[in-house]
Amino acid sequence: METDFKRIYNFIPSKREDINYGTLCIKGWKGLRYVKHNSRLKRPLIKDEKGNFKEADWDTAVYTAISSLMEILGKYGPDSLAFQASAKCTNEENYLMQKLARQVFHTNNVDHCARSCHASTIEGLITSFGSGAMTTSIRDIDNAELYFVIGSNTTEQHPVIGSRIINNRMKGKTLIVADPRKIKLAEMADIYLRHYPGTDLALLNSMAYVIIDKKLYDREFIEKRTENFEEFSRIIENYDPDVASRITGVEPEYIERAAVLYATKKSITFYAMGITQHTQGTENVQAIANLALLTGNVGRSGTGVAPLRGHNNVQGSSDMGALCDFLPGYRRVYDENGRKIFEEAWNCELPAKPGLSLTEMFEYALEGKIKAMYIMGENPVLSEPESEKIIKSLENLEFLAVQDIFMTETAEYADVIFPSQSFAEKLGTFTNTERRIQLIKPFLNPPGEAKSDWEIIQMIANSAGYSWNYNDASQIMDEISRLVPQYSSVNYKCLEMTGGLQWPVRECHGTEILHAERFTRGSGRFNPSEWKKPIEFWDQEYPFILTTGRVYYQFHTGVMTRKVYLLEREAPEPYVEINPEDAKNMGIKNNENIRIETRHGELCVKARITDMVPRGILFMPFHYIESPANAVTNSNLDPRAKIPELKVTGARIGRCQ
Amino acid sequence: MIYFLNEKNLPDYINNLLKKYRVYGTKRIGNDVIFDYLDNGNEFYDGRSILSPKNMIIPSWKNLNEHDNEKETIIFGIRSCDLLGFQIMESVLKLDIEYNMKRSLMHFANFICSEPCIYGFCTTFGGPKLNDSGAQFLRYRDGYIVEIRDNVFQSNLMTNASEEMVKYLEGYNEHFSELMAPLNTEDIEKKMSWNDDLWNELAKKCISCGACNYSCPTCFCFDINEGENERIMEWDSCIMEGFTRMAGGANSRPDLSSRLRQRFMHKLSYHYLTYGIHLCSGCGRCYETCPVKIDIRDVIRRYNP
Repeated sequence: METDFKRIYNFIPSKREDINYGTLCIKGWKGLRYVKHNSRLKRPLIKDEKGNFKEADWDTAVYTAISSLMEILGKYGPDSLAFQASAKCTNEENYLMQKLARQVFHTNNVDHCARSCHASTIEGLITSFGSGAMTTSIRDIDNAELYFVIGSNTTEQHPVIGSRIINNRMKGKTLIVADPRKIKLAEMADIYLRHYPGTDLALLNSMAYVIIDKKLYDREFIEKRTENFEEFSRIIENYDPDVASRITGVEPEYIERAAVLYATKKSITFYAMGITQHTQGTENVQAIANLALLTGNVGRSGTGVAPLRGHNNVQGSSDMGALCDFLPGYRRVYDENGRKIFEEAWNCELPAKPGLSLTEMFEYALEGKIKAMYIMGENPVLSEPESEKIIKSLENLEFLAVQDIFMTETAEYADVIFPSQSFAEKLGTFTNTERRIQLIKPFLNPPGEAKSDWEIIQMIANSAGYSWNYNDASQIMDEISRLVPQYSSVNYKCLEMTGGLQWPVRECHGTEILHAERFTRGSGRFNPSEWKKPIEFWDQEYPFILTTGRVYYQFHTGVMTRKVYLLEREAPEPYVEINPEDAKNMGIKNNENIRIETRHGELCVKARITDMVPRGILFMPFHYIESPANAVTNSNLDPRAKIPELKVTGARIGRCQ
Repeated sequence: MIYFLNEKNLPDYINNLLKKYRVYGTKRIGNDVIFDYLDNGNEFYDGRSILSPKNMIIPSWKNLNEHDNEKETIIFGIRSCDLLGFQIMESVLKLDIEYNMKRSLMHFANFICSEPCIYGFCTTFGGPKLNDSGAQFLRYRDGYIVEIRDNVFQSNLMTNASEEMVKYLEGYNEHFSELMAPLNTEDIEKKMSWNDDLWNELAKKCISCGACNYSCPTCFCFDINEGENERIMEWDSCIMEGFTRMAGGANSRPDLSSRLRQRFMHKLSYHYLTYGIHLCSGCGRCYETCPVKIDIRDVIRRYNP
């Protein structure tokens, strides 16, 4: 970004070969202008009795917040409070947020939006490999021979990685795509598996069946480096392609061909929300890991499992333990030894019971068990399932504090709003999808009195009687590097010199490929599971499956991208995709408003007739407040990762008045 | 006039310019070369910038309600292809008052590449030595041969060029063509085909990021939008669906293949038919910044193998 601290002049793509090699997507070229938008919050806001927001000074706002929080803490106990960190904030800020919750307010009720995108990745990959992160690097993508993309619309959601896949495909490498929607990559794939939503596990298990059946597995790798293979092969026996074909709707022959190719080449598997946002999300992730273990496609160059992270720092915020069940560095809260490290460092006692997950926080608030919430840079009204319930639970709170750069749909319900700084205005680090910790430096003046999120958190902690004294973000990183093993020895000097390091870091050297000699957890573990039908599926009453996703031009709940004219021009309104035959049978015309009804709500939205979606499936982007897709999605949770099943909701179509 | 400037004197030469003017020149940050205002002559780095300094005259984003006091500025270290871009755009923008005002305040010192880059094909449109430039610098032994047409670039740090140097400069384009074979653009404006399957092939790859437009030194399309107390003019991209969307949703170029076709046909055919000049300077930045490596040279070669 080219600036003079007052104005942005232009955006220039860096030519660094290890990340974006001189390319940007449209959001890189145009999208970042939001930081200079007029409607940035400039002063703290306090809601008065009439429900109007009044500007206030920092001292008053912090005092209002802390006195309400302390009052509720005293009255109802620590577990009546809930904190939300943010994958858009820096590592340092997320670290302090969970420290605030755990040290100052003695609760594990701290979580963030990784819960609804990659919680199952963390759970799944930790139980399989030991580290919940991409095992390989972006640069290493070029060394693979086969790309297996499942549940990720890579060219739209991760365009820079997607274009690497396209370039390699054009060079003649193999591409296998599994997705209910006929995405751009599917059009150029060698094999396109169009399975039904929610049947990923059956598909992956069946691929494993073929590999075992044809004896294509890597015997040496399995013997030396993995465990639990016997149980795995016993469960997999039930998934021969004919059986799987009846579940998934994919021809057995295709499953076989895909499996054979995957097993015989150096393969990387890419996946994203299509795998994780299911009640069997953890099992899906484990099934992907199983395939990699079975064929030795992990731990060497050109192979691996690549969960694609959506937000700039969703990897880092998870690493920092902004999760209800993990302390920084993925130490489980019920693990006594892990707790002890932090109890000593923070000089306090930590609760051993896992806190409430993101979705549960709102349920508890609805029931009146959560009395106060502190939300940093998140907009759950749009991003969480069953938004009507979310709004009710926010209204039900006695106190809500929000810190954000803009007035959001969520902030409307707040009692106090703190204006915070965007990435362009503060110092800190982000950890990207390939575990690369990168330093960001301020190059714009913040608007008005906006403060960086860590400063605000420190003010809250100190007014609660603690004496945190971080002078700048680098001192927080020093503390992190002492306590989080993956980040050990990370400091700003090192990051500046190298231009970013991939964790685990040892003496200023990063790690490009994880699990090279041994797995983080020792040996790789096969975690087999049986496929279960999603809780909502096609039935008489609800003959469609509604699945949600994103569009290329918008980001998350649109708080940032919808303020950028050109992006908004390209994707201005919500729509629902419907197959031409379904549309014909129901007499629906293109662009006609139709009513989507589910067990959880209903809304009207424009129909877009396209063969992107197969028959019986509807697709909706969730960015838009006008017709928020999450008003109708279900909040059935993966029992382990607590991730909601946003990808499969039973639906029917009605008429709009 | 043609002079010689010793490499050692280059920082001082720039420092002298800085006494009277703002100098916007190439700088190195990490491995990236970018344009920025120079504070002193030592910051200058002789290299090809990632983007052309098009932004200086056609800002990527501008509030039309605000007026800047424009100052005389020297653009130092621009590559010949980027400067040629400005000259090509003038075929259209010469009618634009704002553009002319800004352009008249700019002095260009272009650096002629001493070796061909991997992306460019400037020899197709003449070659790196330009016919018209404020000052052009050509690397020669321990310094630069400097051809000066604009008096602001005169300096007593330069000596007169020898006859050998003059000859080297005159024959440089021919010499460069041997290193970088020019592509054949003969009659391409007539040969390009509307119904070519090529456009569908390119559309399969293209991820519509707009990089080819934003990095192009000859793309000048913009859009105007209005907000609270502001009227914003910003770079637009013909690869975007909204570029031609009309009221009511009708669109003359509804699919990506038709938009890609428009881009290439405007560059290589339409503009030539109207103005007698191709809307391309051969810098190759559209290929360089393209995530999926769509190569304009392949498009030219398809019609003139």
